[in-house]
Amino acid sequence: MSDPKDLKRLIQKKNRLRLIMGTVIVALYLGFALGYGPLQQLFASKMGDSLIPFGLVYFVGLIFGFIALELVYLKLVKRYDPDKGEVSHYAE
Amino acid sequence: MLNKLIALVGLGALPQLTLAAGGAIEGEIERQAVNPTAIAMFVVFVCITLFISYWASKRTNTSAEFYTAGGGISGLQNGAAIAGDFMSAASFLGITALIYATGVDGLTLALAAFAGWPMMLLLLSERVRNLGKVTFTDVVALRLEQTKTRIIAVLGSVSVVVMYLIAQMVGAGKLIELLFGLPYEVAVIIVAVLVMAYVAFGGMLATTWVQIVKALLLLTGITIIGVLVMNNVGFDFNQLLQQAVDKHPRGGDILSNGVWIDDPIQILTLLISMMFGTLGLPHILMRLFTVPDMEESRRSAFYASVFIGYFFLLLIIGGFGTIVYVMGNPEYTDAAGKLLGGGNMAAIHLSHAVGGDLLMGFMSAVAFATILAVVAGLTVAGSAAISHDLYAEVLCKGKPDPDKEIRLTRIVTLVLGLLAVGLGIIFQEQNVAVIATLPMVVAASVNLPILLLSLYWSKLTTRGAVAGAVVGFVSAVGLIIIGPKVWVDIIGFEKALFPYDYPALFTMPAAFIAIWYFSISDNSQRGQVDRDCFEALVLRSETGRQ
Repeated sequence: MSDPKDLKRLIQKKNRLRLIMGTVIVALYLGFALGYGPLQQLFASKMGDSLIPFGLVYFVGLIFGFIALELVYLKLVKRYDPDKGEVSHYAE
Repeated sequence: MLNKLIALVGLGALPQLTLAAGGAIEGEIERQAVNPTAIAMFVVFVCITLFISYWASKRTNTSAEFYTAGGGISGLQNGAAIAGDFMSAASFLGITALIYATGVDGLTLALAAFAGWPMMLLLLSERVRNLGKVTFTDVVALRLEQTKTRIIAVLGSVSVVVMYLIAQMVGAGKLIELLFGLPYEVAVIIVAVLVMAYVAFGGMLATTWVQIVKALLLLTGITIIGVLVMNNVGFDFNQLLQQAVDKHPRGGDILSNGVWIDDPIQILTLLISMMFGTLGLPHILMRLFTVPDMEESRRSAFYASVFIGYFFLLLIIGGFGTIVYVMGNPEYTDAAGKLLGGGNMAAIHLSHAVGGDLLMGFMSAVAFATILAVVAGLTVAGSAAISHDLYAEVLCKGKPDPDKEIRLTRIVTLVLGLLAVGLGIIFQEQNVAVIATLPMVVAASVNLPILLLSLYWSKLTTRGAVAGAVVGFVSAVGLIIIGPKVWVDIIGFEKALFPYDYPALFTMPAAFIAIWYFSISDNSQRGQVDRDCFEALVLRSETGRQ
């Protein structure tokens, strides 16, 4: 079992990962509100020759992007998970 | 704002939408003729779910099994159940109707309903699962003074559950009246009786499987609609948009934001309320305790995102499909262009337009099943708050008689069912949009700040948590009362004192500031104990329990 200090360091790293990814998600999400304000023209602009507006692409991009970010988090966070011995120890 | 929109669209058919994905159906209801296909399909669903409840009742003997299905649900199953709990009839019928009336503006509500899930994965899925046993109150009370914290958290939970329940029951009554041609009171009683049967006998295990079945049916139905719509336009999405623009009275404007709401602050506060409100919903948080470990809890949140994201992506096709196949079609609209049965019928009419009686019957039955699944989840959360948090943990100091606790839980379930019928009938004439707004705003302003800071802030004290909960609750309810939905729509004043429908942009920071101030200024002995407990709590929250 690792030293509690090592465990705390892992937790700090995990928190940093959460903070960075959470900030990215909230920023991208709230960016959608700009489509109702200063970026209204951009959100209404069409993609190439199609009728598809940028706002729709942004919406679809956010859904796929957030799911992709979740996959990245699931992958990265495993590095900071405690081993089974630590789980048993702290569960007590 | 909505009146302005009705005038703009010129349809007179805009549903007075409930602005909550988890909310209810509202608007002018015209009772439809009895729909035998829909009723037959619904009876099949009820038989299957009652069999599930019977099966689950054989496996539900202890309070842990009742509240959390014994922690034996896998991440994939739990993700599907969460999606089943969260994708409500308002999401399916309401957002489709909003796209029908306004175009891409309807996507704002879809995004708002989806975006809480990545944050749930990052911030709560692991720590909440590792620290709690039955409710999120367990988590909050772990490092703070038990009795005060539990009472304040139970008030937050119960108020959210009851408000959500009222919105669902009123929505259920109206929706069933709309889809099946049954009287409102009969519809409300049917919902309550079925939910009482699921929950009282099968507990969380039955509720989970009812939600999974419902999620699969809803996703199947919306997929079939999506494929049929796309097939009719040669799987060319641009062609679908072109036909929608040609058909809609607003033409190309339906592809621009700002038809529904043109104020970015109104949109911002809606986005904040929905994202952070989702993170504070007790019946959703409770689902994190049904899995065996934190890895499965993470997977639950991820799979829920995938299912919910897929659902909202398909709603784009469904929404624009309603414009192409329903708008102006004399089979579904009257001479004035108004949708037969009311604005919320757009999705159901689309299912008939592309799939005939069979698909329409299927989708109507799914909409009913949707309400049952959501109300079942709320009932489990409400009974856990009373019998586990209040009775077992506060009154019995954490050492209840197990038999008495499980008996009480079942009695509370029945009482909640009766309460739901009573409230559903009492509130049937009320503005459901207000009732549906409250739980999201209260969850974001009361439950979430306490929960988040108890997990991540070392200086939180009991005094700060109590103060934050009071400030969050009072400001949320107060601003909604002086906001447009109550001050203007219900009381009848000309102008609201507070201009925004969803005040969480202001009330949530107010709660955080109150918690911060009353915690850092807390020099009591208890405050020091609360701070000292943080380190052990963090270690446990990241290593878990077995």
